[in-house]
Amino acid sequence: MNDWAGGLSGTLVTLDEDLEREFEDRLRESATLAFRVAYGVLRHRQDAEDVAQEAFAKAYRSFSQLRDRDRFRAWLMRMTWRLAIDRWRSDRRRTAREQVVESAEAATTEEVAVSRERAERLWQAIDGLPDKLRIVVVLGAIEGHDIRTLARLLDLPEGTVKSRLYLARKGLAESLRCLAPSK
Amino acid sequence: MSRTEQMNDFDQRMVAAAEADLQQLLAIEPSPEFAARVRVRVHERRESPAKVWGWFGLATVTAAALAVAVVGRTPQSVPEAQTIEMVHRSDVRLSATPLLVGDTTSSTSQGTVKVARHYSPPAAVTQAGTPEIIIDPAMTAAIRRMAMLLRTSEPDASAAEQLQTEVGEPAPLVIADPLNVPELVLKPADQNGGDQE
Repeated sequence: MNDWAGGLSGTLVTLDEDLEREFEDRLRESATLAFRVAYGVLRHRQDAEDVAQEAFAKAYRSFSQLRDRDRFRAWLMRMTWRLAIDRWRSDRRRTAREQVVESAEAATTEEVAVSRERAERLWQAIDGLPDKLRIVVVLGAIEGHDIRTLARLLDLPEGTVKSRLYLARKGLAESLRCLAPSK
Repeated sequence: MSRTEQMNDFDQRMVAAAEADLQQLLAIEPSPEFAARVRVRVHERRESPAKVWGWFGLATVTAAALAVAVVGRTPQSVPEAQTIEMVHRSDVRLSATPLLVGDTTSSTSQGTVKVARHYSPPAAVTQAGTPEIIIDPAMTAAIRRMAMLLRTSEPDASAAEQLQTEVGEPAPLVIADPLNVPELVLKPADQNGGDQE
């Protein structure tokens, strides 16, 4: 009896250790993705890290159902996006956006100012898109995700992702044309 | 721009440049402490349910203790029915029964309630309106016996003579001055209503 109980507890401990190890692997693989997704919405480093940490904490609670790598990344990305959008909506009026333009080419003050203005216009255009188009554009820009990867992450058919990406680009072009400085 | 309208070359170049800018803007890494912070938050979440249940248990135990205290205290308060019993007890004290007279000195509430329930004769209730007269029953019996004795026996003359010899002869009544009492004269009623002229 004691041997059986000892064996069972040993199995449970091993299972916990396995889960912990797998979670550590997922954390290493997906930390940057979660942070960038949050940053793409919030454009504030501290807020983005906070949201990504929250998403990981939620993922840990459901990790027994999210042990598959692709499934975990998709779930984490969607959770991060949702949390970031919620934070962005609640903080939109009071938080000044971080305007980080770290470009190697923008050496002079004038170039920095120009690239900062361009980035501001770009974010403004992206913020003006509907959420379902916005997420496709931001995710496509992160790590150069292709249509298939986007479809897997968003849990959507590839055709839907393609059409949404097209509509997002059209909307972006229209907004940028309107926001472009008159010469 | 309509949904079906195609993008021209300028738009395509502009969007491509925007996407390149976006890719560059999003090429940002989390801080080195990010993973450690995630681990801390995960462990906080893991411990928080235990804390919540701990507080819940503490609150439950406190509520139970309060409930027990309230329930245990309720019988000690004097309800209306028992107050009536106290009135009965004072009525019992009015009767001439020695047991009940002795019980009037008891002071604890629970003790007196028990006594009142035990010694509540119907006669006590009928005496509620009479004034309080406490007479020793032995004295009552002695008085009664003396009255009966006086009623049945004749007075003893020798006892009176003996009493007179003990006291002695009374002194004669001496009037030092004769009484000088003025004569009472009755006058007719005053016509002027008593006014002096």
